[in-house]
Amino acid sequence: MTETTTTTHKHQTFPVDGFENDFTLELMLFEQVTNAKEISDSIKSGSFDVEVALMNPKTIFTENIVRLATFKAIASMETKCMVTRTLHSEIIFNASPKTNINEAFRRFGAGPDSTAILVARVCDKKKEQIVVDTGNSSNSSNSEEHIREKVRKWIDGKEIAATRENLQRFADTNAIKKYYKIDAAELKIASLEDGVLMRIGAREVI
Amino acid sequence: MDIDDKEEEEEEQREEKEETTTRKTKTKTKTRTTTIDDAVEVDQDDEHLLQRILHYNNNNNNNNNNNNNNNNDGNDENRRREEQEKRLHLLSQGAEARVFSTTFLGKPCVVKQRFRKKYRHPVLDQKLTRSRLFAECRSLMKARILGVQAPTVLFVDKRSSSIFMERVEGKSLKEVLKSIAAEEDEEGEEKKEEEKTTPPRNATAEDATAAPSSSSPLSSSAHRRAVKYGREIGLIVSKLHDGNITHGDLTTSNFLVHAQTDSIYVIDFGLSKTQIVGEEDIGVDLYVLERSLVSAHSREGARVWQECLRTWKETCGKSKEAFKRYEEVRARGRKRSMVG
Repeated sequence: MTETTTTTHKHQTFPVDGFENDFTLELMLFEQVTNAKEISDSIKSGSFDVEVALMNPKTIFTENIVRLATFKAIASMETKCMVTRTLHSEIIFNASPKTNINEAFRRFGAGPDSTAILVARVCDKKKEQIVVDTGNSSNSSNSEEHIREKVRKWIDGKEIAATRENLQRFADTNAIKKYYKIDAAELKIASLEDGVLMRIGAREVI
Repeated sequence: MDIDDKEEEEEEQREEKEETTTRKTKTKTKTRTTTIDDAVEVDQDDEHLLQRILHYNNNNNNNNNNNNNNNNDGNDENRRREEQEKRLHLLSQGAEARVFSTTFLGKPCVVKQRFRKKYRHPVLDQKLTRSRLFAECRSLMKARILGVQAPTVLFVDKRSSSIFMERVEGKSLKEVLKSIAAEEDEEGEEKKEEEKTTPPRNATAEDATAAPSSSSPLSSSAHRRAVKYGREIGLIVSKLHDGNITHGDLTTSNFLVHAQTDSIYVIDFGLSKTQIVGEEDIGVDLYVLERSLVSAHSREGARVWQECLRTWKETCGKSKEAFKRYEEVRARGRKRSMVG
């Protein structure tokens, strides 16, 4: 548990252990976003040069769900069995309990009418650069803070601390229960978070 | 998991050692795999995930050793402890799989890895291992969905055929029952000694009658615990059976008593069946549980079993037909035919 959060930083970073490279996951949370349509358009067309995953905080219950989805995404990247085109889209795909890509993006990705957006970004600590599959090396010299600043400029909204509490504040638990098919019998013995983690973790098995 | 065939284990370990030596000579050209520790050697494909974790762990191990020689700050100490937790520790080894403890996404976690069996044809081995891995995961998930406390599955790695699960902090029911029995004996003796040594303050007839009943609250607290566990187990088993799962290996070492909540978790669904659950399976499940409870822990076990069976009969929907079959199983033993 080496979450490096201070009062000045609103973003949160988590190590992703288990791989040769030191991957870290960085989360930024924005609310009162006004330009969601532009953002989602530019991410679809690939015009924004920082690769990120735009997630929907309404259906992403806690940070651990993004961490597990990221772990799975990197694992499938390393074993060359990615289903989507980029690592970051693979994260969104892996947050879903089903293997339908379209549905995963509709439910767990940020859409054009989102007012709150969770930005997830994977960086490789060793190389000090973002992982870009397209081979775009123009931003390889950019420092982490520079990239963060770029994202802040890009998203027209108010950045708030990407804490567990804030994420849970946005979460729509009824939608989460519905999407992941979690019913009362299970919630008696376990938290909603555990239920979601289990469905993501063992998705291939079902 | 808990098949204690020592000879087989020893032989397997010997085999592993041989493998490591041969593998090391093979992989000397590959710089990545040469650092793998013998103690936690895992024989599988080169690129699978568990080995990556191992690689990661070993790298840190080396770094730590260097740090150790140079300086020993408090900060360093913390870091080292953290790194130590990230490494894999072998918890136990059975005939089918090895269980490691480690951390996963910052949480304490257990990895159950099914290893390759050299005596089987590789294709058959892979098919069997995979189907068993998936069956175990499905049972674990189904059990949780039915509201039975079992560890959460966090990640399934097909390549190394391992399951990453939440770690349940606590002792197995086996140990707990043993300690209850030991406590009871101790307390009983102490009570007797107290009665002998300390003279009653007011040696009246009242005290004399109160003395035998004063020793009973202690044994009744043990009794109460046994009844509580029995009821919980009965409920768990009936939930599983009603949800069309048989566990297949209901033994006292496959129940964990949570350290904080004192509630019971079921682990090891490696032998469970989920699709066709007949009365025979249910009967065998109950019979195995009875044998494990009553034969190993005579007094406490019998109490737990009594309560468990009563609860199961009350709550399980299939109890009528299955109970008959259970009695049949009990009369003849676990195996239907004893030929061969």
